[in-house]
Amino acid sequence: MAKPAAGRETSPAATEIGLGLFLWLLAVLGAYFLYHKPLEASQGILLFRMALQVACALGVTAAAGGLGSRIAPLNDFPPLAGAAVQAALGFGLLALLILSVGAVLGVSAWSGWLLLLGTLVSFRSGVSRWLSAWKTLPAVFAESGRFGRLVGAALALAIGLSLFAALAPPLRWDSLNYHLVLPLAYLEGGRVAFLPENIFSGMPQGGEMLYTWSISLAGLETAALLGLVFGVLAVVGTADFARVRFGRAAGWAAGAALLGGMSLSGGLAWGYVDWLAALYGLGVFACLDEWGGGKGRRYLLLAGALAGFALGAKYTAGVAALASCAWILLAGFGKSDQGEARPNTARLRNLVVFLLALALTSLPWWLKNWQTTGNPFFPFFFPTASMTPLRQELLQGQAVHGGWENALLLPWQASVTGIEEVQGFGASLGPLLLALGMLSWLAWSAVGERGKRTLRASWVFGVTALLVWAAAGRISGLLIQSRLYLVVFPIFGMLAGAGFRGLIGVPWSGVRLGRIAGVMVLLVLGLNLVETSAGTVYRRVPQQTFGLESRDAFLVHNLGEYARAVQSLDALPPGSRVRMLWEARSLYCRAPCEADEVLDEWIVLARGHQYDAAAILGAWRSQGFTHVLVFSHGAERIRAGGRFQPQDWAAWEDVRAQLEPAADFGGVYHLYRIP
Amino acid sequence: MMREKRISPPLIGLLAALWMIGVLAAYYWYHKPFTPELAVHLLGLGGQVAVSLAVIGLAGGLGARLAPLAGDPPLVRMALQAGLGLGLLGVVYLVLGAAIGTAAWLGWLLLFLPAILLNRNVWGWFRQATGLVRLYRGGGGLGRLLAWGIGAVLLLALLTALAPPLKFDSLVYHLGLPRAYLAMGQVRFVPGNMYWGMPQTGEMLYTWAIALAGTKTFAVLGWAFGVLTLIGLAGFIESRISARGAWVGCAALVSGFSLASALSWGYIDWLVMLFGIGVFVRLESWSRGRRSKDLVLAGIFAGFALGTKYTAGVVALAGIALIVLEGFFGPVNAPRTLEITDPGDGSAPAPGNERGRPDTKSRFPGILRSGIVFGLTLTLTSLPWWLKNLLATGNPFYPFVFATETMSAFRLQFYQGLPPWGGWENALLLPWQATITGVEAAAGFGVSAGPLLLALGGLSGIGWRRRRGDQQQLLRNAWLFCLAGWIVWALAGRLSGLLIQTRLYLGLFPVLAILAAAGFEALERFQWPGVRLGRIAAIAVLVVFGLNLFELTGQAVRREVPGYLFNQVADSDYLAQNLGMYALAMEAVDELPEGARVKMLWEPRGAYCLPVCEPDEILDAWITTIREHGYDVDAVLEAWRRDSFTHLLYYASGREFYAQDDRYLPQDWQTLDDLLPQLETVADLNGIYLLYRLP
Repeated sequence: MAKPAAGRETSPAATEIGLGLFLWLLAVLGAYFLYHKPLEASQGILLFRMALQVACALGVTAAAGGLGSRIAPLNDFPPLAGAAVQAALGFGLLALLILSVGAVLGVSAWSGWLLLLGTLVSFRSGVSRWLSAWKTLPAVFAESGRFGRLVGAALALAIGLSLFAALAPPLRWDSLNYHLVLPLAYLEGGRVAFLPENIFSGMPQGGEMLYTWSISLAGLETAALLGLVFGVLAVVGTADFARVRFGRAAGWAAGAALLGGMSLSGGLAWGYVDWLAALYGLGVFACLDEWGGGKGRRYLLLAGALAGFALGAKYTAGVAALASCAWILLAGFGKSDQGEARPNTARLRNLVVFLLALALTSLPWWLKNWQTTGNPFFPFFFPTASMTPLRQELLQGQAVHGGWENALLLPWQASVTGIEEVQGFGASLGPLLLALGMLSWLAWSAVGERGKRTLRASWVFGVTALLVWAAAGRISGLLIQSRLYLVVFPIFGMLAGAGFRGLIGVPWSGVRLGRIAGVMVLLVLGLNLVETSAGTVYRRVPQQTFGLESRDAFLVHNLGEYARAVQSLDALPPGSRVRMLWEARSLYCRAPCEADEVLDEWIVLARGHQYDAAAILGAWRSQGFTHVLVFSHGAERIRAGGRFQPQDWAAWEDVRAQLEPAADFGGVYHLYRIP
Repeated sequence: MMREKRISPPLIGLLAALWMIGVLAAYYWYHKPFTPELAVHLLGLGGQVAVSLAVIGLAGGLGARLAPLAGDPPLVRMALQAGLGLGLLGVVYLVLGAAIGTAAWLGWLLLFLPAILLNRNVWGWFRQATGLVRLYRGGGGLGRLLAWGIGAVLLLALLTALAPPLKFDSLVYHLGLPRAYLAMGQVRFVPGNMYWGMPQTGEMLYTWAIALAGTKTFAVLGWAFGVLTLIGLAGFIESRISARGAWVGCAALVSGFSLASALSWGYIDWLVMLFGIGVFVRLESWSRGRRSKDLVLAGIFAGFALGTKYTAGVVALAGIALIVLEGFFGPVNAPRTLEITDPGDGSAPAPGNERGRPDTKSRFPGILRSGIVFGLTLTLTSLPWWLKNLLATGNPFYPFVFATETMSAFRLQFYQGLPPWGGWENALLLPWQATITGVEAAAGFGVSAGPLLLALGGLSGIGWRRRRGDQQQLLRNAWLFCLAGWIVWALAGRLSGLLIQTRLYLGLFPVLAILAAAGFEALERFQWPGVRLGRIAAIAVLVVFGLNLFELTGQAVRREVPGYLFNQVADSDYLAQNLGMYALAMEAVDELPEGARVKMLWEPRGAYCLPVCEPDEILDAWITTIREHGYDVDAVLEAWRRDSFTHLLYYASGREFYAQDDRYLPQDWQTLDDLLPQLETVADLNGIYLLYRLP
């Protein structure tokens, strides 16, 4: 290749010539785009909106990271894992701040922007430090081998697909039921308050507070984008932790294992809170791992605080706290880095410290419930105002799913037989967590002392979590769902990474087992990418992203008659109020509507009014309802399930006969006018 | 991944492997990642890509065997060798297809036999692609960004090419003719399509590809022509200007919507560009070393270009202009080779850059000799196409110049008599007009070429005195080449409204991209106190490129390309979505009973109904027929029956388009209105297309 010519052009008339050249460029480009419009005005607005939403989600994350960095420098952590844990810490604190301020002063767009800018400015040095930690990421990628780069590219693609999905209107059940419904209700009401019509407002809402904040900044999709950020932080943090503890390839394998299943990679874009719980779970584990190495009680405090944040994001994330307790009590298995054995009293003291920190950070949620319903654990355990014993029985009394094999062979059953949206485990986790995680013992002799301690902690954490999961699954059919335990999946991911590390060192008559495992990891990621891409295309996400299809059309394509039904409510006369039956999703109701959030509305109402049709209609009228939107197919399915009694359905037929049909949506939904 | 110390016996390895396989098998037993239909569909698409790559690989291997081009950079070599092979294989397929046939077995034989014989050359040719890694690494931040962007454009184009073809000219003849040959089992005269007379190197390669792996393979092969062109262009600019400039040059070429989009159309313009860069690179080499071998190769490439598209002759004319002007005004004593690695700090002109006074008399014999060498090789390589026409129609330049049996004087006048488009400003300010006012699918220039070729190419003269001698010579040659092309284009545009179209002169565009790269490099070196002009130019390049990428992606999404690739949109739905009623009309034709034969009026696109239909390829079927039969409806019907037509597909909207055309007389329309009520309607597609049964 020829060498470039040396020197820059200089001449006395350089300014004039330079200006001329600049104007020439400007003129050609200006004239060209005058004739060739590359995008429509509506597309430009859409692009700007998307860019703003992404910027806001990242801004919220940077604010959380800056706050976390200020509070906990975490200099002992692997850089990316440290940044992830700092962000988790910031998220937890900011969620509590939003709860308090939102309940007392209110929530609105201006308060959201004030909080964002205020946090970014107040903690600017922390933000800058936190951002600089991410400079490690390209270096990690660059120093990786071919396997690492391929896995990295596949993970980036999976995250990219989720980014597009998150930019489209949310579609998933729980988001339409409460994760995003509650934030919108708070913003609409201008305050964080108890919503008696939605029992999920009693759940801890660490995630929903952050979603309320992000929605107030740039609209609904910003929440899903923030949800994506939670997941990315959890995956990157886990991979970095595994990389430093078990080796480079182990880090990539850990990341691949976490995003190797359709539910886990797809779940990044759903606007759920499970990945936030996973991020907290990573933080709890990483802090305990550091504490276990004799790094001081501040890590134990941090672990407790993060476990409290996890519990404050999702009740079932409490499994991380239980696993932590097990590890704290069993920590004497190993000695600290200084070689000191831990006495029993010290273990108990440590446990108390951990639990105190946990209680402190989760307390606001119990207080909130206690103050509004009298039951700190609302909607569970004790009947209170809107949660009658009948409703509690219906909610908690789900039959156990499957037999004892689901408990005894839990990892196998959850991985192999768990399928997304199918009853039971209800999630496609991908095969790598199981296939590699179960081989983590192979890494024992291949890693150093530090790695061994992490491995031991992972086993204790993992086994305890599995025991809790198995036991809970025998209590209620709902509690077998894999998604409820995502808080401990980063630890499973690390075990998978360790398994991969172990396989690299296994001799097998000249066969390079590590290479075979590498091919398998790439195969799994590739298949998952094909499946996820096909799903993205099927949902017409690209059309939505490029502004080629309206939001309503997108919703109709994906939600079918449900979207048509709720869109039709726009045409109802002013003052209308809609009662939904057997339909729990109310996010896209633009007219005032009340969803049947746990699908028990009819049975509670009918039995509460002794099956008297006139009384039921009177009750609806007295509550201001003018219409009833019925998910007829849903009702039929529940009826076929045989859970309700014949007189429940007979009463429904009586009431329906008295309602005035207003619209029929393909026989799937029916809208009635209340006479 | 390094092997670690032994930690356990081999049994553990076996068990671990079995465990992993067991888990994966059990998992995918419960979780089918795709349906068998999707797997078959994806495999089919993969097969089309593989076959296209195999054809390209064979062409590259053949080219490498015939022309090692040892002095060229690897990427340039790669493109030129493949171009040489493709040109030769096109002619070989013409001969074999005409003499033996177009059966699939012959296609596979033609692929495998030479591939086995040339396997070393084929692999060697593929290995040269590693030059791309060096080019990527040398491109700096901007280069790498553009490399990813160009990769995205190519990927989008490939995915679009894998979907059923949609573009007009493909459905008229680029695909229409190959399908006709395959239906006939032989390459022979197609009297119903006057485009048969056009040179058909591209169509021969397309026929071969379709015979191997199905219809859509042709567009993938067309995409590969584009990739080769970009590789050659990038390699050349890297070697003569800079790696960064190479990425900018390629980006300038594909930052226009039409050129980037055309990668997936299954047209032959990118093949012409591949030959175009071959002509320029070899002539440029000749201008530095005066080696006859370069002239011969340049002539061969020019012949291949002409053998692909008549208007690609502009490359040959530009080449002749370059030979003549370089001969007259080139260095007094041209060295055997002019060192292109001459560092030249700009303080003094490089050796070999001294320009002597023109001495016409002493230089003329050399120029004549060079011109003859170039012209002879050009003629030889394009000869098969003239011979083909001569043998089939008696007119070597069919369908132009002379009237023949199927191309009457009236038809010739109808086709060629389009008035010039626009005024003289289109000729005088051609680069500006073509760039700024040319819009894809609009009348006139009809191409959105992107602004960078003009914006940066127009600045290629900046910093002239500080350029190395070899760069000065490169730029002089490029300007001469483009100027000659500009003059030809401008004059042709004044002869006929059809000849103003930018697409007809794309053979020149790789050279414009070289000028754009030079312009960018000059801007980078230009010092404007306090302002980094290079950075502004880089931002401009990225913005233009990004907007084009957005537009391309939006188009692919709008067309439902992703849905098609994932087997969620069937072929028929894809065509209906993109071609509207035309696709439904094709379905109606497809449902006609066996033995049916359809005459089409005002619809030239026949690719999806051949050989059942006879399209109205230049939209003159009605006017020609009715005037030939003296406005006698019965005579027209009788003539159609005699030609075995059983049905008529009438494109009513097409007729509406011509309603105001003053070449038609009121009688022409009146006769049609008299005829149509006599026919029985088989299908009425919203009044846009009507399918009739002839009585």
